[in-house]
Amino acid sequence: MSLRRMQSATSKPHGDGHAHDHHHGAPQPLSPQFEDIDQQNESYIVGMWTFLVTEIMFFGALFFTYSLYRTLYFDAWVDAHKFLDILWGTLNTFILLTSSLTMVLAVWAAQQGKKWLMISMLAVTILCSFGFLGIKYIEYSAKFEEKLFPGKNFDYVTANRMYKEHHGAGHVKGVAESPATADEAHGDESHTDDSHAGEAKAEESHSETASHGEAGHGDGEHGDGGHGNKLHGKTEIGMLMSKKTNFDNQPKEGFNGMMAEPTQAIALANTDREAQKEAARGRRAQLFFSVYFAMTGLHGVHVLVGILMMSVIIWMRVVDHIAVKDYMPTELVGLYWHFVDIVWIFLFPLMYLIS
Amino acid sequence: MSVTTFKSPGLEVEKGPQSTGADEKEPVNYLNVSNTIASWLLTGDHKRIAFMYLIGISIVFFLGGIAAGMVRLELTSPKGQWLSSEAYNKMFSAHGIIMVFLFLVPGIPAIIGNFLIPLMVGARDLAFPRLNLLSFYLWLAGGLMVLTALLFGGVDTGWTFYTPYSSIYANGNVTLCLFGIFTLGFSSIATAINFIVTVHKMRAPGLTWFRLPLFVWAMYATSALAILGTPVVAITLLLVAVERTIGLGIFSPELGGDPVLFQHLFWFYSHPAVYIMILPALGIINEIIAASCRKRIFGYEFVAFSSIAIATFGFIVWGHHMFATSQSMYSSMVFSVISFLVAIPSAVKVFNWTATIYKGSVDFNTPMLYALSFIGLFTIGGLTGLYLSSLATDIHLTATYFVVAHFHYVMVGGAVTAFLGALHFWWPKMTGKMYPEFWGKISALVVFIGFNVTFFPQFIVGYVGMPRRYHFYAPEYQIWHILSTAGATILGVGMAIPVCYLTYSLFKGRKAPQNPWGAIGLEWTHAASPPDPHNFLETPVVTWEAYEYTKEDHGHGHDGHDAPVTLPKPEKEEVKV
Amino acid sequence: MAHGHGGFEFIHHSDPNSPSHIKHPTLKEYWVTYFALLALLVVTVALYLYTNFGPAINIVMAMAVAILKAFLVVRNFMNVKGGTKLIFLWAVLGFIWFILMFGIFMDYLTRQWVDQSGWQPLPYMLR
Repeated sequence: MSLRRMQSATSKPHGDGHAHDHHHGAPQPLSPQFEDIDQQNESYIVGMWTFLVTEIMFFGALFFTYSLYRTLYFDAWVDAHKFLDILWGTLNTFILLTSSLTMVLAVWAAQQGKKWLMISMLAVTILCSFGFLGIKYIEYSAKFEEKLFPGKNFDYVTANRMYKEHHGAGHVKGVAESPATADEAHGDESHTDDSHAGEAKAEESHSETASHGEAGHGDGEHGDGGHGNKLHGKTEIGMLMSKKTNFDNQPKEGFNGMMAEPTQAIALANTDREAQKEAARGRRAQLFFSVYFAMTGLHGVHVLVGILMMSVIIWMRVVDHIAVKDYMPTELVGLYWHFVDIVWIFLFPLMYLIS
Repeated sequence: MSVTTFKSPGLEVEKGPQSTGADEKEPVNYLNVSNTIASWLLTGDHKRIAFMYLIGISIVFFLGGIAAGMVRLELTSPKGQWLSSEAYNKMFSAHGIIMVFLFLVPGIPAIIGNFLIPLMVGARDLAFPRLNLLSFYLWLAGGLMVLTALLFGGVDTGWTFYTPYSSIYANGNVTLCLFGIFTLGFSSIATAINFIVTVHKMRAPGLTWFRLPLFVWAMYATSALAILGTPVVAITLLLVAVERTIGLGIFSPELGGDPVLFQHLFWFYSHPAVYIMILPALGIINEIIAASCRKRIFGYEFVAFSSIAIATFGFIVWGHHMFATSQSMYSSMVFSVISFLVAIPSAVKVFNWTATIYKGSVDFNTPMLYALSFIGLFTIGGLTGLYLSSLATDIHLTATYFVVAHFHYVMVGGAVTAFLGALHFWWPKMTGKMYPEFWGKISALVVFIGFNVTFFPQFIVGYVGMPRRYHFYAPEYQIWHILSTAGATILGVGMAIPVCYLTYSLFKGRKAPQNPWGAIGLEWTHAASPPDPHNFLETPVVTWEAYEYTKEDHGHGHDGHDAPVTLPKPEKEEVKV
Repeated sequence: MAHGHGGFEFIHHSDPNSPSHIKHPTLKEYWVTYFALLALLVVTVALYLYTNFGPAINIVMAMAVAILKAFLVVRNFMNVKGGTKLIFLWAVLGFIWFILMFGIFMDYLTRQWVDQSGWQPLPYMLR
């Protein structure tokens, strides 16, 4: 049995002879495994919806992960989201909503059999999607420059410093004023407030973070200065804490750059509470950005796939390929595209509008 | 209205350059309609796709079996003799990954489901033939990725890929393996979409839901599980792969992430996955028992709803794999209770089968032998699952060989046994040839004996404390391991015998009649053996209930439905050894 | 019935009396939905910028608006309104199952969360 064959006319008679309602201007070919065109249409749409259910569960796991960590680390979430620019986010949402409209107009045009209207609407949708991706690129590269990409690149202290430089010391909506928050107290070991003699070095260690990869948690603990004496590896514990000490003289790179040379014993002698909290906030911010990049990245991949599908349909329609004589492929891509839009509708407030 | 026996259309194949050497009288069927490579590789015919799956899946089963053999061989001595510990870890991981993701999850749906569902619902093909073909190629691609990862370097995380070992510390080809499994997930989803839409939209006229064969109900439930669960594990494994490559640390404890979150998300799919593996098997047993006892399945509606119930409940018990983690006691208790409840629909099925067999006119053919051994082994497997659902005993038994024995009883004693039974039962339909009945019975017996000798000692050795996935173990366990390995050898022989005679029967087997079992079902009464490329020449109109065997056949009256179906006499022929 | 082997395609039109028939919205409905969505976007951002009822209420309100937007897209753009019952069922079931997965919270809300971050492995743990 070949892949697609046109069947002899077994459709029901058209009845009264008048044209069917104006929504179904374009005729459709019937595949051999189906009995009539309505069965075929509904089958395709149910099939696509079944696929969208899988997509709901696909993103759902990430939404759950986000909700979980937001519940556990709410203050870090609030603090970290200030780096996300609401302007770009709103613009992206607007672009995506508009692309949804043009998509649905393209489907309408396909149903009417209006070839060039459909192609142009699809082209506008693609343009909107590229706009979306372009803005995402701007945002991502900004994050990378601000040292907010999880892994080797991440450096919360620097990021905060750059943020303060750009935005001044003014209030940011939703950011907790004082670093001493309840949940951070839980997470850190209780220490006295004396700065310990063994506390290691100052900000200069930042420049080495790229190779050492302990950026996320290492730097915060070493403070931003003003935290008392820092003996640079003079004591044994200082040596332990020093990034330069390497017990086997071999660089150890983990898979994500986090497990670099182990230089600290588990029981930290660091008693500086402020530094601890900075460190914790840094780590949790890295977690926030992991979730952020995972979710928006996955969404971006879906946008890309959508662009690909729309381009294929445009090309096929231009060359009058037989498969797109039917409006159904366009409608199915439309369903997919609206789903992608819905994911962003939820992503936008969750990521950008945390308060 | 009597069932009209389908007569082949008389469309005869002329002997010519394109024919497969079919005799002048041999009708056109899906196997001989064309035999170019392209007609197979680009086919939309669900039957051909099922056949291609059969070949591929048999090969991977063989590979997984080799891995199992190596594991069992290694376990004959307490300190191991042939493999390093790392290699041993890779071996059991390979066995698990191949068997779970390449064989059990796709297996019965892709082969038996693909072949039979359109035939059973009276359709010409599945709803989306090209999607079906895509599903096959996704399976192939994913399978090749996984096998490459396993063979060139290996993966030693176990098939469960627990973080943070798999995401941060493991060396090996974890990322490639994960991408392979991700692809396999999409294959599974594609097949499931096809089945769901076909069962909803393409049933023949008169074929209401409650006239469907119970296999179709089971496959529908399986497909629902695949749709709702697979994407979760897909994204979870993707996150692990991303953590390994780019560094987004979602499960990383260093950042405050939770490794147990991985387990939650993983088991949210993997528990429904085990039901994906067993539900089709349960469906198959319905068919075999009904046909071999010539009797309607007792409590048809209960069995149909039990499939749905297993699917639904299966989604809310995932935590019972995590009793020994930091999962809270309260949620563990909830999972424990629900896990007990999920045993009920399975028990409903077993009781109903027993009631069906009672006072049926039982024919102990090969499929029936497999079905009977299924009932026994599945019951044992299921009951031992209850020991694991109960929190107190689970603390003692979890991560021991008791668990290994439990799931092998349901997976091998259950799903694989049913798969073999299905293969034998529908072999005449799929290939148009009969397998030799004597050898079929021998292999059923050998498999049963081998299986029990392999896995029953594992209950014992697990109970007395042998942990799973251990390379070195205490010497007092050795006797049980040796017994188990001996059984594994017998089991291997038992699995090899069907390969031989089934392949033989393809070429030299006796030609099968249309309905050798005298069974009721559209695939038997209305489609040829092997079927026409379009399954039916005329769309069947169904006016009879499922399994409506006549008074004469099963000795019980009807409850006043349509006039009983007159059944063609079962066309049994003499057994030739 | 014979199957056409190749040859030309035949034209089929949807039959309004069929139970599988799907009605499509009008252009006007599309545009109205679009502007409603834009309005809701403005509401979302305004809520964030100008109000603060505390973390719990904020998220509830933000999600309520988002759900409303999603509902509009699903109903009008994705044509669940004009579709068959099966399609409606699928849309509902999908979201229900998504909520089911949040049952994982059952574990986290019943135990004390201890932040283990900052843990550093000792040398012997890394080969």
